[in-house]
Amino acid sequence: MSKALAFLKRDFFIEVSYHFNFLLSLAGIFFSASIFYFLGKIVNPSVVQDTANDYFSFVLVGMAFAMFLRTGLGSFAESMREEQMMGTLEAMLATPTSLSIIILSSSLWRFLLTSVSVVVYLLIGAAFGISFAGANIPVALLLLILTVTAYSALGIISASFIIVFKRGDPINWVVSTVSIFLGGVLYPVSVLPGWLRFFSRLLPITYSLEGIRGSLLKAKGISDVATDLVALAVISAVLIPCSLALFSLAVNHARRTGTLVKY
Amino acid sequence: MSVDEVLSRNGAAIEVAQLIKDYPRPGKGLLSFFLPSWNQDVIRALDGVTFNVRRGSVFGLLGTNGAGKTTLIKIAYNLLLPTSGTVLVLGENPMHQGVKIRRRMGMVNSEERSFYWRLSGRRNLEFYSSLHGMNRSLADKRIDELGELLDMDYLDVPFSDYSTGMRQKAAIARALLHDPEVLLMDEPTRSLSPEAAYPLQDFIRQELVAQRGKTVLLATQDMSEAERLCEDIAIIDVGHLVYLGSLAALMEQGRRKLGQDAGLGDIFVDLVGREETLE
Repeated sequence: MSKALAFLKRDFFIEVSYHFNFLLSLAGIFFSASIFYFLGKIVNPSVVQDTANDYFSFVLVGMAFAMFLRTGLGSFAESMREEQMMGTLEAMLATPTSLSIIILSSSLWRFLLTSVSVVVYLLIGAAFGISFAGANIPVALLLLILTVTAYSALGIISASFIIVFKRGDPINWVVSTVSIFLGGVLYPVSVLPGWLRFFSRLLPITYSLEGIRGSLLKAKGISDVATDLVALAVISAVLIPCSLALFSLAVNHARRTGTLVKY
Repeated sequence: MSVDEVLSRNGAAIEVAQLIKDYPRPGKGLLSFFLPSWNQDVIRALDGVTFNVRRGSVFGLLGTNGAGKTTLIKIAYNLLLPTSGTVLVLGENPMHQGVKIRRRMGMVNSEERSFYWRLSGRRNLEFYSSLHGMNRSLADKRIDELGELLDMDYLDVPFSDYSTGMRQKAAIARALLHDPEVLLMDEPTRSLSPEAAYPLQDFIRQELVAQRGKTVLLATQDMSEAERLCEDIAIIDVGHLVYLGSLAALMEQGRRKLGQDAGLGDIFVDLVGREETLE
């Protein structure tokens, strides 16, 4: 725990040393939310009526929570590569701290920033008139935890790829592109052709966004989103052991070939 | 009795036995591009290296670039797996007891980039002390002590403003944070001028080894540094051990052959048979 806090503290001080970085990302959130607010005025609300009250609330929740997809998927590989390139990985591995703790802890700051950004997204949404009055926060949080778990497993597979091949990670690219394309982030899955809808059912983001939109915007309870919860739990249960096994194989390969700290 | 147990009985701080390390070398041709392990060759970086490092001494691991010095240090830190053979540090095999043994080891390399340049030296040291499991008050006390010991009155300045010598001192301070018994130093004074290198060498010799009883494995290709610091040395050349013994015995033996003016550099060149990248 103290090691995780040390990573957070390190990243906080590095972040504040870049004075305008965080302010600019907040401004970016405000402007993208504003664009979708006005775009929402020309979209018929009936298109999204299953999971939201109007297009703006649909897309805002989709965009906000898709940030966790990107963070879960990319943060481990990015942290690994950043530490390799800065030359700090070797120095950290010279301490009694395992590589898995280093990579997990190095990603905490990104998850924290993502959480702050999501809250900002939702606050801006509320300011633009979205009502979260009946939101079922505990159910949304449960879905979020399972989503982060599932995408973190994919992120660990992605980091394993980076450990061995260093660049050109196809896992992150494929999963994030396909998830945004088919997962119902910007438009509902119902508008896709039938055969594409089948593929969207293989993606954690589809269940995640359906469940989170239902719990935040339609006040759905745990029994209403049970299918989404079970699907996310099954995907996580399959992916987590696979990702840890692959990670272990990748680290041993890098230790054998002497490429663990190379980039 | 296992090989590890036999090796650890003689009480040396570091024991290296029959160490072999092969690195894969990609094969040629189109098939090897798509299947990297196809037709793969190997490069032998260490070939059956064996030596022991006495506790409380400075042991020099001498060799030119690519001799295998860094490979050996990385195996001792479990950053690399050996192809065969064993390295024991304080009787423990880093391959099996990596986390446990790293509590008793410190590493100094010449890699200036191994710090966070946006943070001050103090913040860097605080971070690394947390990775050693030290609590805040102990870490603060230790950082102040080390700052005084190494004459670092610039700990609160951003690391990016440090000179090469200041960065090297910070690397030594980082290695000493948890007061380790064994220090592995990979060219700790590389790229330092003599005015900056000599005080650091004196610190290693007098303060760390003579006063505090630390064991130092010093990988270097700087022959004057080895002459100033080391009692025992191993010379490796392209992975092969070509000399193992005391520095004094090598100097005596070498001067008998090459003349009384011969320095360690001359003797080294005579042993390895070329002058490549000697300092």
